[in-house]
Amino acid sequence: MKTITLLNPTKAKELKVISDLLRKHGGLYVYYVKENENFITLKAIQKKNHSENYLTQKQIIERVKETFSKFTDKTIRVGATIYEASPVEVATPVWIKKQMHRRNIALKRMVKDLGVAKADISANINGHKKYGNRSKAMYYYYFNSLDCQVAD
Amino acid sequence: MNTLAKQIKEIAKQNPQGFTIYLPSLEPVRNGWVIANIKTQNCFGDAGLQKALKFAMTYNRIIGGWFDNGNYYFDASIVEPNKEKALILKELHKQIAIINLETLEIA
Repeated sequence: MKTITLLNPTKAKELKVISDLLRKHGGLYVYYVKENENFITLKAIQKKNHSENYLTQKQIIERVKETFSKFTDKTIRVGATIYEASPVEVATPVWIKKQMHRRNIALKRMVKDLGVAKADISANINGHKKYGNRSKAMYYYYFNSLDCQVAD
Repeated sequence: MNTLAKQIKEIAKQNPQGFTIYLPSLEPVRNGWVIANIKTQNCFGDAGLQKALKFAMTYNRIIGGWFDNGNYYFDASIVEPNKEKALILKELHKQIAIINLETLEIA
């Protein structure tokens, strides 16, 4: 986080350490926006984090005020953005297997429909190869598109 | 150990902002106060990972990592559920601050 006011080196180091801890463990990024004589405005955005602990908007505001108030006598105002998971996050190997079973879709058909190598899909489904949100989106929207075709 | 190191490197790559995991399960730690172990400070790159991993495996089997300034850093972490005990460990390990994983409270 940008050093918001003139801090001594010890305090500036503490501010950096605290900002890093929030980012590393909570995916919480805190940014300086502006300040005047009485107020400091900060922006806090929680992103996806590995421990998957997410705060509500109220909790983010309280946490940021509590954490950073020791660095200033001014009143802290916080604009908070909570983490909202993409719907494609549900496309785990277990979810894909369930969708295949529910719709009676064979691996062979997925290979044809998606144009992806059988070995890659198989490795994803069996959990042998991790995949990111791009692949998750592919699987998620593939199965959803099948629902649309049935509805047509 | 090398397979474990490779898996940890992969987790680090996928979570550059940071992670804390149990060893050898690689499951994320989701609650408790995190205290970085002073003996594994400034461990980065492959050599740093090996040092932190070796230490973590013989100590309390928790390792953390993050990406900063072009390097992947690793440390053996201590996770303590009790705040008072965590604050004692904070002093012992000369940490400026510690964090609660679940609430993101800083102490």
